Amino acid sequence: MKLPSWLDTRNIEAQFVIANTPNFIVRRLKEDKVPYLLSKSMAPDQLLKLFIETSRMEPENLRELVTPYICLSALSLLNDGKYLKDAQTFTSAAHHQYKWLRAYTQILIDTFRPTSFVAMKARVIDNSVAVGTASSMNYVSRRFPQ
Amino acid sequence: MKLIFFSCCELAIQDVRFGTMSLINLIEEISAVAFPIAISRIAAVALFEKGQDEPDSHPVRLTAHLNDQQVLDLTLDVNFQGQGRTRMVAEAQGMPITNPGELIFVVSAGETMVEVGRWIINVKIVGAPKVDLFTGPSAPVPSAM
Repeated sequence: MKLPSWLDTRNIEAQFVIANTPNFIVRRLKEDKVPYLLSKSMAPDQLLKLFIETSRMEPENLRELVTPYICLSALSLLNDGKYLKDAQTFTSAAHHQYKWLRAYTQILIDTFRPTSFVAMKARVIDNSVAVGTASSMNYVSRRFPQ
Repeated sequence: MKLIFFSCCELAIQDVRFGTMSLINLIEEISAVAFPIAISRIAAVALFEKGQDEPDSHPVRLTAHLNDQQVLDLTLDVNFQGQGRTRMVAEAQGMPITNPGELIFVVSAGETMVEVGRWIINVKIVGAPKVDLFTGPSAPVPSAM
């Protein structure tokens, strides 16, 4: 399982070469569109699977070296933080070339901000009508009784 | 669990990449010439904080009253997902406002659903036509032929 070929990771690779701390690369990947595109193109389970598989393999080029980090950043964009925590459990089994993987995952978990979204639907219990005259201000229409 | 912040705005935007939240156009007053009207978009945003020994999931109730009418009653679970703070965003695409008064959004939490915060929106009528019983013609009335 590999990163989709249409994703251009050259900018991330260039940033990775000059990165001196995990936090630096976290910020650079947040600014890049690749993790976002990846999170939109793959299901969370697939993303996790891609992370697990790529983090265990020895990287043969820069693209493969940055792939697990991109997967983690893509997982951090999901509203559910459980995928990131699941990924954290697999960082201990990662290949030694991915030296920042554990710290990288921890930064993403620590900075994760859970948000509950819900759609509310307003209802009208009493259909009242008010218009601008003093007499009609007190008028309450009962055309649609509940 | 305690409420840190609660507000209603027209649009709540979450930056997907950085996770930051932006509230656009806070709604503290609604003016209309005549009623009923409809608010095209409204979002209630709350920020909660929990203690370390508290569970991750908490039930929260969001209600809205327009004067004596209840226009909204919503119960949901907010999940902290292991973090100390969590946000709740409740969005509505259209809310009817039938008459002027006070539109009050109330957030309740805890086992007994105690009110922890409220946001009051003043709904007022503007430019109301006035009936003047003593108006006269502004120009001389032409005499009948």
